[in-house]
Amino acid sequence: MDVYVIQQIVNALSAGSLYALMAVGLALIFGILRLINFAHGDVMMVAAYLAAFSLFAGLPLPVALGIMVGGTVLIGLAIERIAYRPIRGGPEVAMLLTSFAVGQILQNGTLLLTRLASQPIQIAFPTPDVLQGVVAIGRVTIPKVNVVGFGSGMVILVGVMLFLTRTRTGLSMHAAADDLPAAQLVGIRINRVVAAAFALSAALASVAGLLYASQAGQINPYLGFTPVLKAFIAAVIGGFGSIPGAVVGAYALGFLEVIPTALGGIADILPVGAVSPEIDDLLRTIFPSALGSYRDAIVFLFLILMLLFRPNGILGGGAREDVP
Amino acid sequence: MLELVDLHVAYGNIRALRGISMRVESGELVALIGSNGAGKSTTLKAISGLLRPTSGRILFEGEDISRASTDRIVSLGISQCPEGRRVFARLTVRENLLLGGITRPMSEVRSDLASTTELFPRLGERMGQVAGTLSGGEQQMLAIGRALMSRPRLLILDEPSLGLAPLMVERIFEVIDGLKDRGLTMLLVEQNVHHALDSADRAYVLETGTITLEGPADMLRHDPEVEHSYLGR
Amino acid sequence: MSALRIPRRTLVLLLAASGTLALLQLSGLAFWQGLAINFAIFIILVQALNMASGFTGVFSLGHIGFMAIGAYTSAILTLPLATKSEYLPNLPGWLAGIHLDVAVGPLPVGFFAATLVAGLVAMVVAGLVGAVLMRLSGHFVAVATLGFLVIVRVVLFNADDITRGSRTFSNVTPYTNLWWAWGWAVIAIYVAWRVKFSGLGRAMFAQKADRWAARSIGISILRPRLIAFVAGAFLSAIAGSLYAHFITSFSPTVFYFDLTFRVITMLVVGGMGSVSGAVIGTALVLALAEALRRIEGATLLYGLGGILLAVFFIAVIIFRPSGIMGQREVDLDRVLGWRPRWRRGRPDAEPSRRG
Repeated sequence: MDVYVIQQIVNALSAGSLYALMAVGLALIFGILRLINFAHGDVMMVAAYLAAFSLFAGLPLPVALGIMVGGTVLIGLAIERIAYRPIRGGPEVAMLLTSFAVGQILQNGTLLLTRLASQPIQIAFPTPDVLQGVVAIGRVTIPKVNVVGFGSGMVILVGVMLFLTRTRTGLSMHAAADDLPAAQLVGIRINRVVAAAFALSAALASVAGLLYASQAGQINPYLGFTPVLKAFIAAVIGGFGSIPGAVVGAYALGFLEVIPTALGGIADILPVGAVSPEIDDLLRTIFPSALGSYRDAIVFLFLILMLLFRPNGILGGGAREDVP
Repeated sequence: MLELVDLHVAYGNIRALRGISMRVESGELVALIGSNGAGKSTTLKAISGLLRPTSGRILFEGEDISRASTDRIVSLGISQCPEGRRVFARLTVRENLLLGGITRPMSEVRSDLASTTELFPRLGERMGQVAGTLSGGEQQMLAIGRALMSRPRLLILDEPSLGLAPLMVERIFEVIDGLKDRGLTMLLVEQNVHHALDSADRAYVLETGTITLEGPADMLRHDPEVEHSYLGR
Repeated sequence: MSALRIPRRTLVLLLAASGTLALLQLSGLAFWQGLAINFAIFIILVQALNMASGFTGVFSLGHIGFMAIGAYTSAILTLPLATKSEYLPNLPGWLAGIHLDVAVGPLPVGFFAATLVAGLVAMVVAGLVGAVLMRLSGHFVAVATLGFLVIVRVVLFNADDITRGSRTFSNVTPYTNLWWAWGWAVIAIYVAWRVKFSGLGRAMFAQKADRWAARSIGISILRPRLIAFVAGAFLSAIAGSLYAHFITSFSPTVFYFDLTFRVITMLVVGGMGSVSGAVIGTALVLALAEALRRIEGATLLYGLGGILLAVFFIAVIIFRPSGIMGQREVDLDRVLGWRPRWRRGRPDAEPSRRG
């Protein structure tokens, strides 16, 4: 039982790191541009493909990672320059729709390139050795990718926080998010700050892409859709646009997600005779073994409730649009 | 130092400025007064590069800056302290001031922090405080301090006394007078016409996008039109 | 109103349209028949989204979820009893007994009834969901409705006993033909048109333009939004039913983001808020997608079509953000020969209706 609990906690922390890497990127860009960048998940997908093809080509891991991060950053910058800059400051929905279209381009572009490379749509990800296998601590065995994911996620996030609070470029991002015209008036180069935000967010997404692909073991051009939605939920939980909030929200979501999986069918895991038959019946009714497969539905229901009752996050107050 | 030549600005079909010309000489404090919607803010936005004029020129020390980017204009030496203070509410006082010097090398900016806090001791006491939690008067001090951090040769102040308590208004104008004594060139937009004309050397009156009056501040203060419309006498 | 007098021009056009459909039906050109049915189904989907989002400015990404509800509801209801007990053995008893596969002469009234029930089911769900979601603003409503779409998908995948889960749902009777599809498409266009130029429609557009101003003159915001959302859900479910009985086998994966994005593209290209624009946008994007699909098939460059469509979409948003028609309309009254009451003697009374 205790082993089970520990494993679930590690799962939650590992998923939380992945969501945090994604959610910080979403929050950075939303803070400055009021743009919900749905293409962010597809940027992450592209990173996974860059890593996969670099490794297929037999490049050493550090080089492959360099190509992954560098290539993803270039793509992030190109997207900002070509698609988002012309409609900057436009209606929110127009920006959101553009990000959907950008996502479609990335998905179909990846599809096209894999076809040209005579690869199937779904390919096995060549997970690097450091992320393969399990770590055993006593009776608890944990997939290495989860340990590395959680650890590297934390290190990177701390680095991002330092960058955002200790450097002038980081502070400029905050200033632009706080008050864009005032930021311009002090002489901040908005184009550069926005580009830096996109570059940073793409770099974070590339790490998330590597972790996601290593966990899943397989990649396809459509894998970014669910993670970006999850990252969005994480950002909403933390109060959209807030960077620390996004991190807190991501780990909260990691735990929230584990709950239906962990509790679903809990009666089957308990040792026989551990609880009275009445409680066993009750557990089977409230937490049927199918609960885990409804996980995403439960999480999105939670998102809708969050948007309604605490749109400024678990820490912020309520600010729902006041409609009679 | 600054010269606007036949400046026109339009928002779509609405002509906000219909050919205004004005100048600010080195060392001068020039006031720009006028009622709401006369085009004062539009003029300032055009000078700072937030708006593009449809025609006309904006010359700063002889260079036409009417098409330059805002950050370039700040680097050239024009700094604007915006209406409503607009401090970066979630950043600390110190961070606000540091960002004010973003166009300059970090080492110089650090040493300038000291001289700014000398001018505004209150800010010096609150360096680590988040700007959003300052009082209105303190935020105005911070906004001026932030604008000074770029070491401007021309400081533009947009409604610095708006919404402040009378005592704080006095304090703000003391600061403005002090800056003037140091020889800083300033362009002041102010609804408190009384105070503005007391401090200014010269003034322009803007009405519906055109300059209707201009001259030494002393003279305008006794102009019957100005007395009637803006001084409420 | 005195006895309804239908202008000769309308009759002629209706006859011409029916004649075209009849000719197409008789021609046996299966590809063109299929395309025409697809066109009609997309028109219904786009008009549904037009009402829900174009009229009100509340961006819904969830209406394909209602289409899914319509498709499954109607497909299950029309299964003949024999097939049903074998195909969906674990269906709840009350549902297992219903079989709307009856016909009166050549008319499959059971299909018509099932389609209506599908629409009503979607309306009830939309009423519940919308009462909650229509309070949200801007892009948050878009994301929340996307959340609804995900929830529908998860439920479809997991409710094995009713939907067969991730397995393909087949054995659907192929009721949908040119007449059903176009009959409903004309109804969808007509409903959208009437709503747009009603008091309710004006309330929808008013709160879209300025919700505070609308409030201050006493226009409720929630009510027009909710009505538009629910009406859009009804039409989407109708389209779902038509789709189910056209394609005859489908799985939950169809009703997801790609289809959502396709419908949005059609609406945005045509002009959000324009009924005639929605039809034009649908035709244009459908033709473009079909052409690109053929190019993909010929060159084997799968993915190219999706890229080009998305590029086209971004170009529209950048260079013509209000679409081909904006909120304006082709002057349908003039085309059909009507002289509406509001324009009698005042030729320019409704400038927004001119194309």
